[in-house]
Amino acid sequence: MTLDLADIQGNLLRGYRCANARHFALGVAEASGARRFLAGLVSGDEHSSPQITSAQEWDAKPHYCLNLGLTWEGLAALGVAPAVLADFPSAFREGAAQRAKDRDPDFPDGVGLGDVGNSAPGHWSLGGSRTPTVHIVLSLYTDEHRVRRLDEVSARLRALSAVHGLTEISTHDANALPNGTVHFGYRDGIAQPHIESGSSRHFHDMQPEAQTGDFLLGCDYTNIYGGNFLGNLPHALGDNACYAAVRILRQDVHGFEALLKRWAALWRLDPELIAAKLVGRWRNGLPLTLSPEGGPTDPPIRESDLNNFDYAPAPGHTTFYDDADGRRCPIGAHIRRLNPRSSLVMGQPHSRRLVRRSMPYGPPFDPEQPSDGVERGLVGLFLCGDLELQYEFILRVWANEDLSTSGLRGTRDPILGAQPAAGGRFVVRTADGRDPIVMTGLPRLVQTLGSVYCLVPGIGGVRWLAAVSTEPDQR
Amino acid sequence: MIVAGLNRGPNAKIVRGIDTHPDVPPLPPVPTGGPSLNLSLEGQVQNALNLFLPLKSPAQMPALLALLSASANEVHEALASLHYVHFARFLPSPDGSVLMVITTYDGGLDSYIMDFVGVLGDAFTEILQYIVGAPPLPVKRYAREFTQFIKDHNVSQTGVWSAYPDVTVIDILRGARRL
Repeated sequence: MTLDLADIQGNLLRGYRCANARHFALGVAEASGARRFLAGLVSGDEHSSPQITSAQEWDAKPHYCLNLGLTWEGLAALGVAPAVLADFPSAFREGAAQRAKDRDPDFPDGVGLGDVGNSAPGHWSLGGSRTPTVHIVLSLYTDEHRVRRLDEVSARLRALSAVHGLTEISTHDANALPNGTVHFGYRDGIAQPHIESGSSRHFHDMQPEAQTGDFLLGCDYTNIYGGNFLGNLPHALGDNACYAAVRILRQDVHGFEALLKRWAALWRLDPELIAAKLVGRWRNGLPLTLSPEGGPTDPPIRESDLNNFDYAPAPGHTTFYDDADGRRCPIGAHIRRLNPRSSLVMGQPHSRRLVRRSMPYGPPFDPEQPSDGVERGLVGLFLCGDLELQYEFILRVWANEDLSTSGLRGTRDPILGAQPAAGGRFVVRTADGRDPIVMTGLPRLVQTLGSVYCLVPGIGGVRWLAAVSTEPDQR
Repeated sequence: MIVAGLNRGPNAKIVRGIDTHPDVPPLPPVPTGGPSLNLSLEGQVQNALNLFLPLKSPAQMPALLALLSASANEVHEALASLHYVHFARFLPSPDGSVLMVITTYDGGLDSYIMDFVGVLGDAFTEILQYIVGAPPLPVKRYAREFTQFIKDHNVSQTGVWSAYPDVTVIDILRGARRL
């Protein structure tokens, strides 16, 4: 299958690996002006407006990259007919703040998506119950040596949005940290789904390719369930679209480092080993499955093989080490819970995939000043073909429930999980008489500060929106 | 009478010959909802899905049973692949007017129903052609409508007992070293 890369927004199929990002949350005051603003973004005329970046290959990296998402309220504000709006999946229609309040009927005492307590929508600075309704999210990316470019393009976007009656609700900046790490110190950006016919393989991966229809709507794509996530939406709007959960996540780096020290002293373990067990990778990116002891391996693990592993034998690697008991990588480790690969879980294997595009915000953590009071975290776009089946499932079930496989009972994801007030549990297998070690008192390490669900339309979809008529029949 | 064979392709075959018999009066509404008595045990991880599916005509029950028999191996294989279904059985009413689908599974219905669609959507496309008020077919194309149909036709249960309320399929099979 050949994808129409010129019709797909670029952030789904590749990470831009830029140094700076600025996310604009905009409100639509007047539909016709907003439609003209969208038309400019896909006009092909760089002089009149910055242009949305498509997935087309480039010879030279552009000076900026720009992507667009629209909330369900944003589509309504643009004039999309109620009959079309009603055909969107309920998760997108209801939005992140409402969905944060929902509970799994089979787990009424659970925490749902984990956006509870001080992560509840009432505390959010974006998309929350006390913040203005977001209609459009524009994500602008530039490189470090072009730092002025961020302000230049921002100024153009601001001028255009003002002319077209858009209000700037908030902006959210992010800046890459040295060596591509996140604030907790781990190297990031290693594991992403390879989408059939779409993304290039920078890292080798034992996991099968994701089906195109797992991420892109419409055309003649097929998802892993044998259908198409377009549903009854018009092809002109939905073809080559995907969905995004835009998240602002505060990270408690001081709390994380203190936890490592506390558990290391209590269990007489290397704090770096505990850090690796919590995530499933050493902080330099080496997966525990390939390097259970850390340090150099023989033969050395190549850069391109940092994602080339599995937790169980599977077709294509039938003699691979079977870590069913989590002796190398804990079953509850962050990357294993959120992507169990071929290990045994309820439901179809490899069925919940997510593309992550995130960048830290805030200055690097200084261990000499652990209580500096500076907020740190990341702004992330989590892209998929169905918010409920992919993004929400991963957060609700794999991160915050404990039935999906054996060995998780009574635990939540150690990094993202909404831990109980008394602290969560984390299980580490050892080769000595202490096996298994059950570590307790795990605090919540990541707080949700914002969340918005967006449709990321194809370029044709943006044009359809820019020209959408006010007639009730828009099909 | 047409007996449909299961089509495992992405678009299962729609058998146009199966229609409501014109002489058969419509059946009463499916008895979903209503008072429920929750007797499940504390900490129980197992749940029940009990589908009550009235046939378009009781005369078609033999054909439907033949279809189920012919596809039994494929259905069993599909259910086994999900690792969350403890038991499943088809139960025809004595008068042939209703097919009940009785299952016990782990976890949440909403969370895992699409896995069910993925492996059994084609089988249900065939089965639902015999059923009154079936959703638009094929199931995989109209997955959202199918999942709503399943919820609407899940009969309220009056109490569940389990010898091992907090044990999942994976726990059991792991314990038996079958996985």
